[in-house]
Amino acid sequence: MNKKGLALIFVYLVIMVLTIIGSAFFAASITEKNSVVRQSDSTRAFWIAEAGLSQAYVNWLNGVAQPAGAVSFGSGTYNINVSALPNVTITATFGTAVRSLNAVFTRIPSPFDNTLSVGRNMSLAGLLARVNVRGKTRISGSYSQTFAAQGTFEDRQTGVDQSLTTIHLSDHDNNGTADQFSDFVQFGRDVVNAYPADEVAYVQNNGTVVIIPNGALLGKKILFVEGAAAGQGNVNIVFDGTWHANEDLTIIATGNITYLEPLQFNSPARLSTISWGDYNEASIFRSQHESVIYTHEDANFVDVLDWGTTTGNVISNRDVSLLEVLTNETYYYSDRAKNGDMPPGFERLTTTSGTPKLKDWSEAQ
Amino acid sequence: MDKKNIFIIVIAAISVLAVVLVCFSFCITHKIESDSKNAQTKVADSAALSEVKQKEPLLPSRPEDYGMIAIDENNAPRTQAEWDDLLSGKIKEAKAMLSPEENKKMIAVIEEAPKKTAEKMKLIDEGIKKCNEALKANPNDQKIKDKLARYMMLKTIGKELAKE
Repeated sequence: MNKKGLALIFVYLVIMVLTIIGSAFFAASITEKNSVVRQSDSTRAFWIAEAGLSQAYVNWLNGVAQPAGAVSFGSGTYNINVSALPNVTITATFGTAVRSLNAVFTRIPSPFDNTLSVGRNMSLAGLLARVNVRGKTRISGSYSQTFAAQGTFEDRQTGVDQSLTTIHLSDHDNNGTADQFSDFVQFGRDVVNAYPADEVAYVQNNGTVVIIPNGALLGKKILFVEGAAAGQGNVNIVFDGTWHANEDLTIIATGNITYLEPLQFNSPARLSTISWGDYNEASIFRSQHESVIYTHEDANFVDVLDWGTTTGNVISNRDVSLLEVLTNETYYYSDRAKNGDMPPGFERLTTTSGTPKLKDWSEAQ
Repeated sequence: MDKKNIFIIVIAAISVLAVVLVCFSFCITHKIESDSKNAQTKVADSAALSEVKQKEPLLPSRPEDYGMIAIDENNAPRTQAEWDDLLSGKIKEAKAMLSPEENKKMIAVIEEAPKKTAEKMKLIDEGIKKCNEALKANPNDQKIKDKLARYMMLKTIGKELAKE
């Protein structure tokens, strides 16, 4: 082989190496370009989903029906899924990118503005009965008290519209009529379904269950006691002194709920109640608790034989009675629910009036 | 082997290495691309899955699974002794779960006026007596029945919490 031949082979090899390296750079740049395009598409899809969420929220606020199919927007599309209201999912596409956003559309019902909300009448009776209510007391009917009783209200109004004092159930069972017992049952089941299995307890019982908060209920958010008919599925909550700090349980019952000796020491724990039947509360020792109490019927604070303090909101669609209060019951307003920190399950007690709120915005994982 | 051959072998080795590197680079970028596409598909899939999950049938638990006591209308306690039997053990268990700090707080509440506690127990006894009298006149008065049950439960709780 002479020098010219060697030079030729050398040149071929150099050309081949340069071609391979060039190809590699070309391939890398194509990949980089694809990656940038995908990233760009993904970002655009995200902002299209944001736009879809804004549009869905505006539609919801104005009572406009949500579009059924894909909506074109900014060279992409978005789909609005409101089949599980108040949970809303927006799925947007741009090019090959798909991004999804979840949010909750809710109205904070007007009664959460008040400490006591009474759908009908409020009465105070009893020997040496002393009741002190801080914050707003809104009564749709009238207020009465016996001679020996003494009620002190920071801001009490009677004869107010029921939309400001009551919460009525929507047509949860889709039978065309709202606010029925069957709607309440379906509401309870929907709430149970909406929470992770380890955060709920679901019990069917036609009699009464006695609950003493215990280790098995720690970390639970929802306890639903379902009876077969109205008046069945009663709950007695007894002595909650063992309730730990930061616990936040809502007990939902188709029957009456009776809360005896609420000794919830550990702030900021909450033990809230939602009942189709009456809510009754009684104690013999000085007791205090934070909760939101909603009853579709009457709320009775009875047999209170010492100082009792309730922080939160009491919402009764019918009457509130304070009977045989032998010492003193004080109610403090809590704005936690009003500010969106609803006790578990209450987020599904939606109303058509109240303060609208878009919350729990997050990207679907 | 002369210098020329060594030179040719080195160049050939570099060429082979370059080809291998390019193949490796293609494989890596291909994997990154497919992972990225799969991740996007999973978002849509997980949304579909969560909808399916919501349609699962509900299975009720037994009240006992959560430490509850179930009472039927037929076997509901009627007397103070029956309420004591039903609740005392559970309240004792609950008290045992209290941390020393929590226990201290509770004892402070109960012991702040021992005489007052005795008076309250007396008031509960009077309430029970009145309810029983009212039930004699009207045995089916559900409100009075409920009130009587509340008084009896309060008495059981009071006795059990006041115990050392």
